[in-house]
Amino acid sequence: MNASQINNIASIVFLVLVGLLALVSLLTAYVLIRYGQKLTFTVIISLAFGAVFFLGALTAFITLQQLF
Amino acid sequence: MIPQTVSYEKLFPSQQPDEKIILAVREHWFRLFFKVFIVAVLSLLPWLVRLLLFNSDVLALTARTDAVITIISHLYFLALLVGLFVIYTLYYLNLHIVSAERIVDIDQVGLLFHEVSELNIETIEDVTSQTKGLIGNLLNYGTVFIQTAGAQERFQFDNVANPARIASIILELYESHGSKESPRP
Repeated sequence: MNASQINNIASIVFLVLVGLLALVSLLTAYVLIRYGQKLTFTVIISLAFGAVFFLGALTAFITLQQLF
Repeated sequence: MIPQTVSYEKLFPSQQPDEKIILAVREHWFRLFFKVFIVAVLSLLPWLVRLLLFNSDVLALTARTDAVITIISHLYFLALLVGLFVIYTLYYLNLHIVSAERIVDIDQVGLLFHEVSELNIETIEDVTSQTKGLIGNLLNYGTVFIQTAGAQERFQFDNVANPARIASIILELYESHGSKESPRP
């Protein structure tokens, strides 16, 4: 197995895992905004979490790209 | 004496415009703190693993191995972050409300189960407060059970602060409601 194939497999596994986590996050944000008592507060919390999650995922992805 | 009303505008879907909310309680802060603490302890795991690997000959730590551990750690931290978000969401959405007319129990059990139960103050039969354990007694949190007339299962406010006070407020409301319903001749 050459480096390119390993890179592809690692990227796919990484994206699938991050995708699953993003799905759970979106569901949580939806539930929080849908049933939350204060719309502004829940939207701000969801956006703040989304930003941190996005930055974390991006950092991990850049690290993965530098690895192979 | 009934405390001042809480100034929330709308807490549950069927709230009437003139319905005053007496109490709105969530789980005690210590329960949230404990869950966050567990997540914080779990976040130390990657460093622990790295430390053990560095100090043993199990795995030769090359630059590539180190990078692989970094990637796995990143994914692990992302999962913990999502876990924190879920913990906070469940904490925020589980709410117990006592209004002048009724008791509303909003339960969010997991992400896909949302339940809102309502109970009229006049159907209350029995209110019990329970404080268990060392931490519960030290920080004064516990469970309030509200038994209703009929075969309906009892309402439960789990791990709320000051359960005895909440129970007495509900009983005061019941008594004041009863005296409104049947005035003395």
